[in-house]
Amino acid sequence: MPKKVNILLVEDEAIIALLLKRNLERAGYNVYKPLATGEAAVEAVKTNDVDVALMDIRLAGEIDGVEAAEKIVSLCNTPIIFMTGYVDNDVRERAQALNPVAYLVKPVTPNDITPVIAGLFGEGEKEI
Amino acid sequence: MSDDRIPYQELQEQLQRAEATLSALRRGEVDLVIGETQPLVVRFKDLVEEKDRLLQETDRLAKEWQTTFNSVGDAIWILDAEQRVLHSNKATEHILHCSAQEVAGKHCWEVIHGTTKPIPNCPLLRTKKSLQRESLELQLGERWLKVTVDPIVDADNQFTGAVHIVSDITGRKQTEAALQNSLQEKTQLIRELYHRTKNNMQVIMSMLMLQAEFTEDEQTRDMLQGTNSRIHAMALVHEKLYQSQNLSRINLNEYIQDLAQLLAQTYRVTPNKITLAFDLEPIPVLIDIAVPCGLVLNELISNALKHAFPHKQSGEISIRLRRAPDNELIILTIADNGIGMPRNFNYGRSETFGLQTIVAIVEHQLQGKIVFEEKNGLTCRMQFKDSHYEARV
Repeated sequence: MPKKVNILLVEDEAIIALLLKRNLERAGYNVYKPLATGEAAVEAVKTNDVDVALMDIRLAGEIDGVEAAEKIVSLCNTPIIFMTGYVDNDVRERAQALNPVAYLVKPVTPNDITPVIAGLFGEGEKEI
Repeated sequence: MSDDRIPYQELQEQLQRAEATLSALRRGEVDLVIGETQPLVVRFKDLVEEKDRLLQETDRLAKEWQTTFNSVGDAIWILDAEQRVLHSNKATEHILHCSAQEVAGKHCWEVIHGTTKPIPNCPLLRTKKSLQRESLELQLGERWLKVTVDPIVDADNQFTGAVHIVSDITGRKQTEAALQNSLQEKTQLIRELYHRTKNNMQVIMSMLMLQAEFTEDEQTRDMLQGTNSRIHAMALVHEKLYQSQNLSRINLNEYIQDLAQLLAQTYRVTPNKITLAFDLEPIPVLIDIAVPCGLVLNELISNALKHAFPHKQSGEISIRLRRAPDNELIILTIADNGIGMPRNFNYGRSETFGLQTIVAIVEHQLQGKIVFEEKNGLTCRMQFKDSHYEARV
């Protein structure tokens, strides 16, 4: 039986996180409670079944989204989608080194994200 | 009386000269008198005095030159044709920590770099070749030195030596580095500002989109969507500014292309149905021009995407950007080959929000002109100057 795709949403702007969560859920995905820090994201992948992590780069907390993604990839090889206002070459290079599914430049709308996730898993559900 | 008699006047003058010569002889001022009527008076004493005076003058000039040479704060060396140090001034000790004796007869590279051969890009070798001033800035530990070499040439313009000057430019380099740091900090600050502005705009956009989701009223949703789209057009300017090198201007052509594609994506345009055609001249503009331009384009392109091609009709929206030959005006044309405006539509009297916004922005803010034409669809042509704003960043 197909299982819903589980998305870890890491975004420190509550309004943006709320909008993305609603739209992704409407598109048929399961979105965990959005997290505002990289540290919380790293902890979350240890205890949750995360199929894809949607990561902002500039976050609250000590570590940024790229560093958090590095830890997440090394822990469980989770696919990463970055979404950020940062377009600096060094940030982009650090992010690209993790071979992410996508690197979306803000402003990011739900319309930008859903095709990327759909391309990865199909429409909201995956086969297990 | 014979004619060879000496005139009285001349006799008087000869007598006076003879008496003067005798007086000079008595005073010891004249050492030898040769001849009688036109005597040559030889003054040995004066020659000796002149020689002494010249020697004193030479000595004075040499001392003056040496004092001047030693007063210069840069290490100056006079080099011979073999590029060996002939003379060095006192600053050599201060700048290169070497005495005049230590540098005498040595090549400059031996003293400065401690090498047995000239370094690559050696300014002395370049001067020898070019017979012009050459220089090089180099770092020795924490110090920065500037080496400047001027050629000395003979009457045949052959290299016979050089003036080799070493200046300590550490202070200048430190000031330059401090200025560079300060500039980088300011650049970073401005980028951060653009970044935060864009992020705040995204938060506002998200709020509007959320509000739209919570309302059932389609008209309200359209209004929220329209406002969202306008903010997105402005946010895109900040994104471009954040990415731009000079932080004050963005390329209007790139912005137009990105904005049009963004709107096509927003309105979920099927690429094969409605195509976007661009003919855009690269024109860098300030934020003061880009933002109003973006808002106008947002209205016009959105309008064309929403209304020009009903019933899944296919068509084309073309955007043309040119700077007029007089370099004063920017001319922007947006045309579609759709159904055109409704019959009896009066552009001058329209009370739609979109059209009023367009006219106000072009005529009031951009101080330009806008014209609508209906021929095989709708064409909007606007022209405005970009010279009434100056860069503030």
